Amino acid sequence: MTQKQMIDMVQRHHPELNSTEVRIYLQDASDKFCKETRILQGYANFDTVADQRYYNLNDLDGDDSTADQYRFIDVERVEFSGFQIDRLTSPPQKRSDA
Amino acid sequence: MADKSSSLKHVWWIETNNAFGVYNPRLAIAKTTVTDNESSYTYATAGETVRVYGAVYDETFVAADSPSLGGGVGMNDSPNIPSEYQEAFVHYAIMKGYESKMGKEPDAMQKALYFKKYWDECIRMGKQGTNKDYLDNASYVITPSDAFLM
Repeated sequence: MTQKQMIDMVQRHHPELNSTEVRIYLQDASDKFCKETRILQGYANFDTVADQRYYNLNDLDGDDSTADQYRFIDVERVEFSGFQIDRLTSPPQKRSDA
Repeated sequence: MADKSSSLKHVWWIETNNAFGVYNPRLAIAKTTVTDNESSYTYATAGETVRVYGAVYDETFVAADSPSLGGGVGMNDSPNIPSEYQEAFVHYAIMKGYESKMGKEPDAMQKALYFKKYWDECIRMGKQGTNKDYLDNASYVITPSDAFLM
């Protein structure tokens, strides 16, 4: 079903809503559905940077654009140079801000 | 490219707190060095490729007719979720529309609840689908790995 078809179906019940308003509801529905069901699985690649520990999960490549990768709901596993690596259940005792 | 033993010394974790109280989940990658008494965590080896797997949101709905790949769900595009669940979005939008009319239309609440029922049902089916996809028809055997258990 295309977005246009979805908007048409909604506007049959709510002719006073314009497509921008319907699109906001559809986006809300999409986010809620994906979060509740975890139905979409995806992955994203990035390269590690010298002296950097933290990477923004929604901008892993650090190019200040969040539109060029999936928006993650949760992280299930991570591969480093092709090998699956372990997850720490909590951050290390000694903090690093870098 | 880091070899296996070097790669496996790395660990990851998620941190969601930051100085401004804004929700901004960050992935942390560090290299572990284990000595006699403690583990220490240093920066990960630079220039290595990291691949992150997980549950993701669908692409964003956009007003353009057919944006380029990765540019969002255009007017002539369908979302990435399986087609059998896409109707859920319509039920949700209709429900929200009636919710906004409560107090103005006498039967708006009943109509909102009617479409909420369909939305909830789609969520239930979606959860069920996520758990069973690719397993129903798969042939697999669980082989005991320890002779003592046989």
